[in-house]
Amino acid sequence: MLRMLEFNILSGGNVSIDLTKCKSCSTKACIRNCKSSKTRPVLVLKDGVPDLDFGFDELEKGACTECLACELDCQLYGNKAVIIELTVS
Amino acid sequence: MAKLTEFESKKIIKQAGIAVPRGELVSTPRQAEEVTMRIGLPVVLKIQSLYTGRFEKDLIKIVSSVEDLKRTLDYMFDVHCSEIKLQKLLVEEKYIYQNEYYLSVISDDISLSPLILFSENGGIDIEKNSENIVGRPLNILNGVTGEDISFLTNGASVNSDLGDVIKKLYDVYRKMDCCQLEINPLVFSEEKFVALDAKIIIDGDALYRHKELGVQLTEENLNREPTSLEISAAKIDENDHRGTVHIAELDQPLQKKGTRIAINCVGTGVGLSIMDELIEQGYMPANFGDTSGNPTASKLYRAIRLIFSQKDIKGFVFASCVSSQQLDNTARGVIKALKDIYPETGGKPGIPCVFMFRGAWDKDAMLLFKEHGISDSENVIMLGRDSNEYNVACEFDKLYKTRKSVPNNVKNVRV
Repeated sequence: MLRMLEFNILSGGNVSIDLTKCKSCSTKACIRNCKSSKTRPVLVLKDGVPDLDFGFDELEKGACTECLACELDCQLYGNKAVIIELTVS
Repeated sequence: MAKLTEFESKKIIKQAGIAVPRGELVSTPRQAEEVTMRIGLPVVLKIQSLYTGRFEKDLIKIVSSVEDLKRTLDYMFDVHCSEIKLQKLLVEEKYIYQNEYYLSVISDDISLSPLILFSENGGIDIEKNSENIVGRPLNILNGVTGEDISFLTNGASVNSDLGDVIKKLYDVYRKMDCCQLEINPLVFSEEKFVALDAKIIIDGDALYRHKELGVQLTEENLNREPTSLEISAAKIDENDHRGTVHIAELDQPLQKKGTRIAINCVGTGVGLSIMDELIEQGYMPANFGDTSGNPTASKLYRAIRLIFSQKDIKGFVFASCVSSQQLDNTARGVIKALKDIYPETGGKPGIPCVFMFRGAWDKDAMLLFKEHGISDSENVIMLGRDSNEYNVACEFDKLYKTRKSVPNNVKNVRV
């Protein structure tokens, strides 16, 4: 099984999800509040852990709206598995 | 908008065929002396800065002798190096002439067309002689016509070559996507028109077409160099057009007046109103900040990190106008930034902060602050859509006065 799920985002930075922590997460809060610029969320549930419903190139071009809900909700209601690194000049 | 220095502007108009004085850029007194010897005395020494009114500010000096040159160079490099961060000095030949003319092309908001301005009374006091300026809006499809030139120079005792200069200047205006292009003074000397000073301001939205200039787009602080914070802030929007971030630091003379309060708002009008209200309460805004157009939360994160990185900030105010901006996203960006700035308290700020959320998803935004425990902080006051800018300033004032008496509370922000 994939241990880390990582993807780059348009504004510069990346999202990484430690899937080893996700199995035991009962809320899957990151998926619950995930939004996207299109009609479906970026994160979906697959085999009990988050997976991507967009290609890496689509995400890098802005499919992820960078709302940061996955990270913040995971901190509060999940297993602190999501980390978003945002570059600041 | 992006303002070019005199040297950069002259380089462009010279390429268009308008004469400019011989000159070179230098960065040391020794180089300045060498260039002076090549050009020959007298010379004009001009500090390349975006400040306006350089002559009155002593940033331009005319030198006629070797002794004078050494003394003036010492003064310019020693004094101005520290005061205005002198980087380059333009050493230029001195022209002898009789009349100074003013010639400019601007993008005119009233006629919605390019407007050529001409005056026979140019020079440093052009603002005082504005009644002598003749203006002519141009039809952008036709460019400069003979009729336009006759209108502008009617009765002017100048050589007919002036029409050629006007046409060339207009060509630069179009080619370089200028908002403003100005020659002041334009003089007639040695049988030709010469641009002794020039200023080009390029439309910020067109700057991507002029990468050869190497100009960094920042907020419109056209009278000074952008600060490192402003350059960093401009980069936030560089490759991501989902919403906008505008951050400008207050000019240096204002920064030491009063208790410095950082600001970020949704909407320029709110930002300016908050600044006014804080000043009324005896505080000094450290910056202007506006994150609007429904920016991503990540943009808010970056903006807040930069705003909190300013020195000696004693408080922070956030306020939104009643807009359609998705304020829950805005709140997430702010919360993540606070958590990174104050990790030991889980995002509870170490300085007094007032947050006013009004508009779409404002209740969600307030709820997020509660969920993350930030609104529980004694340093935080949350206001909703029943509040206004005056309330924000008053609440901040009360909070600041209460909290500053708490030992070690109002301290410098660590970022």
